[in-house]
Amino acid sequence: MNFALSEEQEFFKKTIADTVDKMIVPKAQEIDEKDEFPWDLWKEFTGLGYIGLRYPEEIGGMNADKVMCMTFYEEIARGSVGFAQSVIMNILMGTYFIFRFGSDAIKERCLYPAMRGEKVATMCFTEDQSGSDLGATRTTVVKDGDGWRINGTKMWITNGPICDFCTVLATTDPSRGLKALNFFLVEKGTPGFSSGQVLNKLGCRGTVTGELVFDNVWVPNENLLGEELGKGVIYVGEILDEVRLMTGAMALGIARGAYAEAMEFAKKRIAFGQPIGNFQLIREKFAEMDTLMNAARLMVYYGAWLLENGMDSRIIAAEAKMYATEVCLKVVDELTRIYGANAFAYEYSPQRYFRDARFLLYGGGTHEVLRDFIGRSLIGKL
Amino acid sequence: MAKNIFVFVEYKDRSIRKVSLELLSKGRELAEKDGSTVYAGVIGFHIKEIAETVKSYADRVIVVDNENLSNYRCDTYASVLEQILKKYQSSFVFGGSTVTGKDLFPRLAARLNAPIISDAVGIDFDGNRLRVKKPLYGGKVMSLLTFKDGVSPLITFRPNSFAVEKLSLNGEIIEENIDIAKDPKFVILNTDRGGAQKVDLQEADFIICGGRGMKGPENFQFLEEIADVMGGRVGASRAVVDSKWREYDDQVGKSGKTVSPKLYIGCGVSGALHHTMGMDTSKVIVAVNKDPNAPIFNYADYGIVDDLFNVLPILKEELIKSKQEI
Amino acid sequence: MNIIVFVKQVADTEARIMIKSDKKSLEIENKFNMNFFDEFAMEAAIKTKEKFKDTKVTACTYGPKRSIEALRTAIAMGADQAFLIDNTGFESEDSLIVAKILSAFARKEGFDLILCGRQAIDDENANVGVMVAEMLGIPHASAIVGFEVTDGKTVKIENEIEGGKETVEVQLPALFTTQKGLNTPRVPLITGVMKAMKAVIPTVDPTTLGLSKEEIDRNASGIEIISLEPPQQRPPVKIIEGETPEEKVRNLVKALKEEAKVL
Repeated sequence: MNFALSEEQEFFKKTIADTVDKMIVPKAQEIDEKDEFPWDLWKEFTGLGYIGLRYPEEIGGMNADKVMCMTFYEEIARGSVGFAQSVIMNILMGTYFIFRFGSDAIKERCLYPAMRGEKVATMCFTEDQSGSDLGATRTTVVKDGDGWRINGTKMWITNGPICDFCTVLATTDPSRGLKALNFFLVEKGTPGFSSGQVLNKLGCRGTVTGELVFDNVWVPNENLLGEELGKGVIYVGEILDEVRLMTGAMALGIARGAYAEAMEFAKKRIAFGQPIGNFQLIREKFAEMDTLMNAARLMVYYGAWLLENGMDSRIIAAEAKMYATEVCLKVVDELTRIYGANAFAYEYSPQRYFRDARFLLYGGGTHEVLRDFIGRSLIGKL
Repeated sequence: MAKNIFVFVEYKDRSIRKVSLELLSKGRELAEKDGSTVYAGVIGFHIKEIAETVKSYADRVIVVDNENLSNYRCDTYASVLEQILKKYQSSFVFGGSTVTGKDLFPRLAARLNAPIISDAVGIDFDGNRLRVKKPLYGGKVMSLLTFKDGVSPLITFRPNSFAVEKLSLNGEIIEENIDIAKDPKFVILNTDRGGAQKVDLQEADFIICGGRGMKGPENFQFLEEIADVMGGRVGASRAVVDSKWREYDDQVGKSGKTVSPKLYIGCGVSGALHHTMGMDTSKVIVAVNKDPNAPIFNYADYGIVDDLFNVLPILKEELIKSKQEI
Repeated sequence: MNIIVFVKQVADTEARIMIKSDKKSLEIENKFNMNFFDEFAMEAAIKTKEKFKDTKVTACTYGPKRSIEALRTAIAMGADQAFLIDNTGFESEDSLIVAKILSAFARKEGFDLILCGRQAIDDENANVGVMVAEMLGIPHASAIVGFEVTDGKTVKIENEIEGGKETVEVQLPALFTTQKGLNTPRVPLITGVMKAMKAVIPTVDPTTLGLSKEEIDRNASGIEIISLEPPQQRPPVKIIEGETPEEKVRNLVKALKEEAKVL
């Protein structure tokens, strides 16, 4: 078993970590405090070309393997969770179906500009009443001449209010649940397509999340992203493991960032005449955090390795996402304990890690649903 | 066998730079242990006056006075020193780890094929051999170094490494006439000395920081004056910046700038962790605060417990005085 | 134009450094970077390449095998090629020896311009660059904060001098050591990162540069390490005594001068 990263992967890891330290880390607090989309940083960062991370070199991408992708997600989340969410939307969920199914014209209009950061992409699944329960999707789509007519409202859409285009999940028949789901491309400016309420979130601030409204939106046939109707769920399955592992990687990044803050504080904070890092109970916290983080890291990267090698990663991806999230929540909790009263002030960073980490509980699937899924997969149908 | 110590003397305007006096003092101390001779090398134009001052600090002062040497240039100075050292064989050549020293000494060392230790902070003789103290990794490691027999090293020392002894020797002044040729490939177009530029907070050697205790923006004038005297910068705590008494550019601390000056003075700064995390790697930390329990005293090397408004005017006077002695 | 940039891989400022029990060597946490000051040198080289199309930038370092990573960073920034002169078996940090090796490389490779960082952040010696210039018999300027290649033969630089700055016109070939403020080192683009990942970086045996083993190994150095020691801990605060504020301040300034030696 070779646990080592290749020289190339190590170099990539190092370079992206440095880039995040230079470009993103110094702005993280400001992004959180202002809670405005950081357009300058977006332009600067996307200008480096990382949005093409997963896509082939032939179209200007990097063709990165899954381990490198996870490394990227981890590092950027360590920098700023809000900003990371927006970037990753362009890298993965917001552009995948266009890359996979879009016509050349659509790719020219949407995918390539998104890869250059010139356009903001997003993916719309969630609705007010359907998050984990995709079968309860109520955004409908009906054949209308040379195209389709979409009606419905999507909620909790990252990048939604500022997107230039989105991939929307819509049903041809609500009564058929999961079997009637499809993806459609809707671009900004299409009549009837608008953004609604912008959410005021506990964490991941700086990224704009909100409601998207589809009011009799008509799109041409080529905007159906898929080879057949009703295969939406199957298509989602193509990236579901990566999305879950990605969430796990983000959890690792947030945990690492929090851990580093805790370490600095433990070394510098003086109480009872010495740095608190000398006290046994503080040391125990670090031992616990490091153990858990190492375990979570192994799971996430093992999952990435399985995925990269075309092996079955469904269960590991779900488990890794869950475990890494729980570890991250523990680490950010410990960070706030180590900081004592200072954790209660907006002036210091622990409160930001604490708030940001909460999104991990639902991003990539809630743990209740995931546990059920894993249990079912393991026991099988009886 | 006697070892000769050669000290390259730097001067500013018409006075000898403090670092050179430190090296002459130290050189004297080492020389007295084994009867060595201390040579001082003074290079420039119209430098008789300087040579006269230097002679109190050395056994022999080698002077090269030439119009072509009126301003420092590596090519001419290295060439002159090379020739001086050829004539006055020395076991050690000392210089300051200054902007000039860092430019000149390596070139000279390479020319002489001599080993060089740079940016040292100490030197002593342990009975057997010379030991040179040199910091590594930003001070995280201190190395103790020595030399092989038969080797004549060059050593540059950080300013403020040694005390200046008031010596009153009567050194012999020897004037040397040396041919000097400027490298035609290196043409100085313009020299710009002076013009007070605002030192970058993170590059300042001296920072005087004001906290809530300053009571208002108008009082930062005191700090500005002291910063000017010291050629440093004024910093501010987050509380001060939030109250809009100072610009964010001045903020020292975790969400401001992390600084590491040689000397940091905190006035009316309580020492909230947020702030101390941004300055606790400063070489020397001084705190002035009315409150003897202020947390900043946990991080400081020296503290004055008193009303800063009583302290600041006197501090300015005393710092001006001490600067004049350089 | 042929530009050589000499770089050094150094420990990250946050890396843990421990003194080994023999007190003569260090154990350094596996966190390394291209030396901070070298980034300015690389950036200046790449900017020159962007201005004068027919320019080749070669990055080179003398160090252990792991230093290849620093060379990859150089390529990611835009260097055309890179070479590692492997110090395995020699491991001398003596400036004179390192400079001998690097100048031998430069002589063999050929150059019009050499750029290096002003100093390495680990030893802060600021020697090697200037020494290489001497050994190659070319003019140099150290701590440059301004750099402009006027034509293929001349360079105009601005550098720090005692108490100010100087503007100098230098004829190539020449060497310059770079100081902070010269430029803003670029963050590599993904295309650079990809190129760097795939780059084949040859390893050079220093003895193939016309130097003998005896000339370059540790024993060739005139300097010996007696020991490596940890720094002194900051002792508890000294509250300055005095009856009046005047007395306290005077005592403080005296302590700062004589004891702390910062004045």
